[in-house]
Amino acid sequence: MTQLVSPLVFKWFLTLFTGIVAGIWFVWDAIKLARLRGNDAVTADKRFGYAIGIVIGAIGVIGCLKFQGVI
Amino acid sequence: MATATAGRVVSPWNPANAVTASRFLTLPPLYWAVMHDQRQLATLFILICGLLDKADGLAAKIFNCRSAFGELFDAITDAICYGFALILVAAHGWAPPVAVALVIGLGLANAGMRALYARRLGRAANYKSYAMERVVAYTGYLIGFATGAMEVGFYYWLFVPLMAVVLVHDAKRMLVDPV
Repeated sequence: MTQLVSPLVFKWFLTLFTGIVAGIWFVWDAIKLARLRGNDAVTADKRFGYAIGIVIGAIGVIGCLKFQGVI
Repeated sequence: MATATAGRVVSPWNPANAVTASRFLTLPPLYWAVMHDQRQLATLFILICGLLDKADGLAAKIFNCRSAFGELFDAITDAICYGFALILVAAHGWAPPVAVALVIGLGLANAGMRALYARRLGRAANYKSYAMERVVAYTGYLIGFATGAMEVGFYYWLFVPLMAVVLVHDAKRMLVDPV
């Protein structure tokens, strides 16, 4: 089997890549949700989308912690 | 087929659509890597596919060639690339087949609703769903979780109800609410 990097490096690459993206995603959508104003249909769509983004970000970070055996 | 955007005609033969189409080139090496149990290479190819997904939007902005066709082509490419990759990793035993079947089923339902939405509008258009954009990005990650053997059950089984909730929300917006 071709190994581009060692299994340990690969595991940390997956963890950091996922964790950093998910963490930024969580914070970014949380900020956008907090700043959102209005009650029209498009704003409601955005609100729902940002809320889903926050949930996905949280899932990503929790998965990384599980992967590293932290939780 | 050229589409008009803000009074300007945009040819479908533009750099952004070329980047979108180039994503299909990652599928044969991905297939080879999975079939030969090359987890790291498979992860690399799906990563390239995901990065090209981001690059096509950037190309559209740089070359000023955004179009309704381009958005639709991007969504179709997402469905084909991620659908193929999900089936591949499930068939190879790297992902739970039942969860993947549910995701594919929900994805097909989403595609069908988008076709109905375009018919309601009377033109080729992609419904802008902020939630589904995030779900599609998560789908790209799902394949990476499978190729990297990273908490596969956790990520896949949380994804299914999340996608179902977004689909129900979008169904109302696309099929019931006024266009």
